[in-house]
Amino acid sequence: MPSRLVTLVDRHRRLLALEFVAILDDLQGTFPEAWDDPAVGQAGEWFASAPPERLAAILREPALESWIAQTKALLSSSALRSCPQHHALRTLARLTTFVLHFAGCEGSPRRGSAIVLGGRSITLLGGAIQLRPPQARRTPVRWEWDDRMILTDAAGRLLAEVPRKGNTVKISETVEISEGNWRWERAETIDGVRVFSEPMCVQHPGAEAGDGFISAFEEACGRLEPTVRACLSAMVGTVAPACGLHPSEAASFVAMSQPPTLSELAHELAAGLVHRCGRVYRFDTSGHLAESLDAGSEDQLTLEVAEELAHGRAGGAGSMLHHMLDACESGRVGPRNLASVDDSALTLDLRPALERAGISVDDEVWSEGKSRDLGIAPTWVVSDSLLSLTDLQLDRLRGVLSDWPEPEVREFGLASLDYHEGRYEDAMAHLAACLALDARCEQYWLLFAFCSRHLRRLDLFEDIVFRGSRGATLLKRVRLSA
Amino acid sequence: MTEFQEPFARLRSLKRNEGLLPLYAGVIAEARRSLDDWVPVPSLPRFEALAREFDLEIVPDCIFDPIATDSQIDGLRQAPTTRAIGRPMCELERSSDQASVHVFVSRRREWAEEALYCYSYPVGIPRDRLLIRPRVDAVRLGAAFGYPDCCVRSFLRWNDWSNHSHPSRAYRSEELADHRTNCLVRHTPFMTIHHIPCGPQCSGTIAQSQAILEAVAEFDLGYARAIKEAMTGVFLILNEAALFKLHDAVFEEPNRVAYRRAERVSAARKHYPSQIPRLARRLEESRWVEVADGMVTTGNGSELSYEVDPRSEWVEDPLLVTFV
Repeated sequence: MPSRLVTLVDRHRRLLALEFVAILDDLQGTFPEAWDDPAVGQAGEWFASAPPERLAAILREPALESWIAQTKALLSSSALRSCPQHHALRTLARLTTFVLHFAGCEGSPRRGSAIVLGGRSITLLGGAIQLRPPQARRTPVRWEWDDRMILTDAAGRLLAEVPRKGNTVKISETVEISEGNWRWERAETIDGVRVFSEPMCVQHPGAEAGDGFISAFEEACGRLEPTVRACLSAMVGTVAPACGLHPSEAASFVAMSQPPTLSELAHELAAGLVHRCGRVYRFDTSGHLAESLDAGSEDQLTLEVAEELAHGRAGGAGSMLHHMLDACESGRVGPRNLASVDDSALTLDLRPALERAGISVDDEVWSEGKSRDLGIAPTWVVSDSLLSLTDLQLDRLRGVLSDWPEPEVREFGLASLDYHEGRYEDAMAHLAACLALDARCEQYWLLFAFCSRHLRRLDLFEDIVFRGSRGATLLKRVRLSA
Repeated sequence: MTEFQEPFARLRSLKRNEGLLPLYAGVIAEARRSLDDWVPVPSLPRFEALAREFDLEIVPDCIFDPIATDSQIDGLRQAPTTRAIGRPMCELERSSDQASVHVFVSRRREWAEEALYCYSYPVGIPRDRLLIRPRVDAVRLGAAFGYPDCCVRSFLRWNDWSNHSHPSRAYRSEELADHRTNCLVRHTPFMTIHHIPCGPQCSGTIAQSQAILEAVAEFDLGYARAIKEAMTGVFLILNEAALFKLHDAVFEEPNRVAYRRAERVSAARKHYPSQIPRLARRLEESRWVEVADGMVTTGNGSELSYEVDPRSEWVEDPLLVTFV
C-alpha cells in the first residue's frame, strides 16, 4: 500500500502532471490525429519522464528552454493550426494555466472579463471558458454575458453596450451599418446606453488597445521568471496566427485568464481526470506518470470516495484530490461510478423556480455564479434581484422553493429570501445546509457572516471576513449561542 | 468663513478634516438618528471624550488602513470610492498612525448599534478582494441613519456608477431645486445631507436638512449662513466624482452659463479618471460653460470642448442645476 502521505511538493507536481496530461488528452479528444503528431508525443514523453527534482528546479535550468521548444512545436503542429478558434483558445488558456502553475504563480481569475473576437463572445468565469453563440442572426446582433449586453454587427464589431439588469433594449430598425459609417438612434434606447463611434473590441476595464495589451499581459506575468515570461510570449506569438488572432488580442486574452487557485485547479482536475477521454492516470509516489488506464478497468472506487468526489465534501479540493490520487495509486479506480462534476455545479440557477412561481424571467440575473476563491469579490446576483419582486411574488417564490427538488438551489434560494426579509436566523439555518453541500462556496460563508452581523455576532463576522476562517466549528458556535 | 466655533473646531482638529461637521450638530439635536465617520487612531481617546461632553455615544466598527491607489483589489469597480483595508478592532493597538477607526455616532446607543449591525462597509479584506454586501442592506442602513424612504429606494435604483450618474438623475427635473436638497457639496464642510435625494424638492430631505441647519445655527450662526450660501447657486454635474460650483453664475441661454469662478466640490481622489482633473482645469480657465447633447463646452475667448466619453468607466451625464 503506497504511503498516504502526500507532501505539498508532491501534490503540486502531481497537479502539474495531471494538468499537462489533461491538455494532451484535450488535444487527443479534439484532434485524434494530433496524438500521432511527433511534437505532441515528444512533449508528453519529455514531461512524463522528467524526474521530480528536475521538475522542482526547472525554472532555474536551461531545460526550460527545451520545454519552450517542445511547447512551440506542439502549438505549431498542423493539427492545431487548422482547429476551430475556440478549441485553440481553450488550449491556449489551459497551457497558460499550466505554465503559470509550473512557475509557481498563483493568482485569482477575474470573473466577468470578456472579449469579443470574430463575432463570438468569450467569457472567462473562474478560469473556465464559456462560449455563447449569437442570440439572433439579425443586425445588430445581441450578446449577453454577466450584467452586460452588447450589440454588434454580424462581423462582431461593437455598436453599443447596455446594462442588462432591469433594462430592455429596443433595437432600432433604422440603424444603418456600413463600413466606417455607424449610426445609432439614441431616441430608441434607454438609460445607460453607451454608443461607440468606432468599431472596437470589448476589453476588460484597464486594458488598452495595441501595445497596451502587451503591457497588461506582462504586468499579469510580472511575478514570473524571465524565462517563463518568454515562454508565454512565445506561446502567444505562436498560437495567435493559428487562431486567427492579432497577437495583441491573444496577449490580452492571456492576461485576463489568470490561473485559478491551486484548490480550484485541483477540483477541476480531479473532475476532469475522471472524464478525460475515458482514461484514468496512475502516478507513483514520486509523481511519475506510471500508466494510464482505460475506463473499462475492473477496479472500482469505494462508494464513499465516489460520493465525496461527486459532492466535494471531502474538506476541500486538496483532500478530494488526495483521495483520488490515493485511489489511483492503489489501483482502485472506476470513473464510471462517479457522478459528473461539471460547470453547472458552479452556478445556482433560480430561473426554473421563478418560472414555476409565475414570475417572468427575461434574463440571467437569477443565476448565481458560485465563487470558491477567497481572492474574488463574490456577487449577490440573486439577492439583489429579489429587490425587483413584489411582496406577492416573493411569497409565491418562497412557496415554490420550499418544495424544490434541487437541494442547493432550494436552500440558497430560501436563504436569500430570508436575508432579504430580515429573517437572519432562518437564513443562517439554510446557509448551514448550503455549506453542508458545498463548504467552499464563498457566497454561503459571506452571507452567513452578514447574517451574524445583523444578529450582533460580530465575533463570527470578524472571524469569517477578516480572518478568513472557514469550517464546521463556526456553525457550531452559532448553535451553542442559540 | 475662516473659523469654526465649538464643537466644530475641536472636531475638525481631532478628525484632521472638515467633513461631516454639520451632521454632528444634527445628531446632537436628533435631526439625524446617527452618522458614521472615520477618526484617526491617535485621536480616538480625545474624540470619545469630546463625544461624552455632548452626550454622544460612540460605537466603533473596524479599522481602516489606507491602501495604495494602484492596489489590485478585486471588486473595486463596484465601490469606486473605497480605498481601505478593513481590520478588526482587536488590532487597534497594532495600528499605524495613518489608520483610522470607522465609528458610528448617535445620541442614543441603540441607534448607533442599529447602524453598526446592519452595515458592513465595503473594505478590502484578506486575499485582496472587496467586501461587497447585498444591496438590500442599504435599506436597513438608510433607516438606521434616518434617510427618507423615497431616497433609499432611489438609491437602490440609480446608485450604480457604471450605468448611471445618480446625482444627474436626482436633479434632472422641470422643478426648481431647493438648496436644502443639495447633496453635491457633501464632501465639503458646508453641507447638511450626505444622501442623494430622490428629487430636487424631496420633502423628507428638505425637512431633515432644515433641522440640521437650525442645529448648526445653535452652535455657530455664521457657519449655518455659510452652509446655506454654499448650497445655493449653479452647479455642473458630470457624475459623483465630477461636481463643480459655478460662482456668480448668470444664464446667458437656457443651457449656457457665464461664471466668475469654477470650484470643484466633489471629493478629490487619485483613483478617479484623469479626464476629471482635466475638465476641472478647463473650467478654471474658462468663463462660460454650455451643456448640450452630452457635450460640455467651455470658453474664454476661444471655445474648448469636452466631449463626454461614452467608454468612460463611470457614466458621465452632464447637467446644469440651479439650487434656490
